[in-house]
Amino acid sequence: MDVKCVRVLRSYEDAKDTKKVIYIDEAARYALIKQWGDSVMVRGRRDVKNVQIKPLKELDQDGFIARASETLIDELYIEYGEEVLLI
Amino acid sequence: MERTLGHVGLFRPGDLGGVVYSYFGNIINFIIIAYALQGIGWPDSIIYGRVIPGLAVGLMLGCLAYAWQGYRLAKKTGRKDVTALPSGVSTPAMFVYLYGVIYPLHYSGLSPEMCWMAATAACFLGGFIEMLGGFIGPFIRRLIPRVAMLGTVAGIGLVWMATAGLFEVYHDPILGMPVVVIAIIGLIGGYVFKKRIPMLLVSVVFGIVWALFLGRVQVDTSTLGVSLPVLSIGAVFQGFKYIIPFLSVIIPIEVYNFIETMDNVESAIAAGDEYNVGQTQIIDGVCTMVSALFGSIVPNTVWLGHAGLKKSETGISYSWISAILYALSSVFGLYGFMNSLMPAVVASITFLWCAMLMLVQAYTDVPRRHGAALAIALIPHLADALYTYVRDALGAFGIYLEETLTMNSSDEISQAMINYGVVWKGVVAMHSGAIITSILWATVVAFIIDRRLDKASIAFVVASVLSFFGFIHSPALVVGVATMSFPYAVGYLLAAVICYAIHLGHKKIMDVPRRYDYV
Repeated sequence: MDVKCVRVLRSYEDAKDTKKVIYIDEAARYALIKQWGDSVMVRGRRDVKNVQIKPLKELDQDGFIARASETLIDELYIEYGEEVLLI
Repeated sequence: MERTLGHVGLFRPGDLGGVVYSYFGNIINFIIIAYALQGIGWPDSIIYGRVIPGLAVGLMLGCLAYAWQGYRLAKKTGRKDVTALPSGVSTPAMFVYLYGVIYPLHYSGLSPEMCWMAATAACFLGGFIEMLGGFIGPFIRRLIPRVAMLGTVAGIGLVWMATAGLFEVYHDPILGMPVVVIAIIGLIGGYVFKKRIPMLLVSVVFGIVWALFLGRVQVDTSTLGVSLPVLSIGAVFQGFKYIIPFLSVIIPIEVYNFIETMDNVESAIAAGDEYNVGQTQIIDGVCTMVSALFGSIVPNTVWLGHAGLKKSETGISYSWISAILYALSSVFGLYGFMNSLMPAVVASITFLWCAMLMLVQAYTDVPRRHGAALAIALIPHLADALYTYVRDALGAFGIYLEETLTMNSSDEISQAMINYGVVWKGVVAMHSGAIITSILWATVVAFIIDRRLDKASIAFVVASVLSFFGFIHSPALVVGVATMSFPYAVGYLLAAVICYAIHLGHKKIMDVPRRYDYV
């Protein structure tokens, strides 16, 4: 099945993202970049546009999860562990 | 066994399963249409000389266009696993055109030739409306939560395809049980033979052999013959003058049809094939219009089931193979012969599989918190099925529901149902415009879950407007206070006011957690 509906967990501790970033698995990222380029709209309870997509670390690949910063989670108005759609 | 053209998969073994699903599924609709038209005395020269070839032209063009879309998508994304959208006759629209347009025209005293002209005009107009939908479809898609679209697809799959599939198995268990269990072991259990032969194909081939062994197949050659499609532009334009009273039936069913296309494309997108919704709706509309010019009387649409076909490794080629089969069927009258070769239970396995996938997809490809929205999306389709079964059962005894029921309990049948505890008024209301009602309720519930009562109130206002004009909860377009759908317009409006009032005041008078687990 499609992995564009993903559960969001907290971001990496060493991540120093100045922009809105969501980390997703490499295959999904490749498919999304082919379609829309490297930024997407993320749909939680609120929609957030122009979110940059970056690859998850090796350990998290194929886990059907995404990771996002607390700021982005707040903008999406969801809590950790809830799902978002990448459009 | 797999063949490629460049990097694009030319033929995959799973395409044979796709042909069974698409071609044989549609052949059943051909037969239904032929029987229904014979029932009102249409001559074979119109049914087999004009209508069926016209239908075949529409489906052939649809299949070729979807195959072209598939190749384009495969080239664009560099993937080999793209599955073409399935093309088919829109079954709900087919019944509405047959019993809501053609039968009334017949009973109004028109000759079969005149009825056919009017029906081709209705079909052409329907295609035009669907084509117009292509310009607003992508916009609507961005406004409606995904759960609403996948939920309604799941509802249709559950009540029409999954039930039909399993009922067929239980109708003939000795033939059906082995076929269905092979399909489930392979498709759901993941068991596969060493050469990776698709298990849907294995179950289909086994089913045909098993049916032959049991003597369940009787070959029918009665439809064989040569008949070329005839361009009938004049008939379409002559027919327009007869369909003006039926615009109130044709317009809502075509709105329904383009929304169905939108839902089915969303299902394909969720399965991983990002097709363009607007382009697909335009293809549907154009193919329907062209088919009407060749004598067809019912519209084309994207069929349900893409997710199931994709999972069973169906590619693009099944689509153009089906197109060739439609062309051959049209010219040589092969549809009856092919239908007799394929036991109904074998075709129904493909329906069951695709329907199960549609349901699973609706749960897995949307946020879990939207589960309640999905649950409510299923309900209008249950009403639709219930109504249809009761209508057809009573019709078999010569009682025609649409003519008999007054909806205000003043007739014998309505009163008997109410006395028996059947909430019939609600069933009839939900049945009319079931897809739109399903989408609207799922949208509202998803917005409520997402703390967007302002958007929920807008959805209720839309529902109210659609009810007021009879797009939903009414068998035809209507305006006014004394209509069947007016109370629903009022009800939706009240719901909209409540949602908006709570949206405005909730910060002062309520505690609303960001996340609330209702399960």
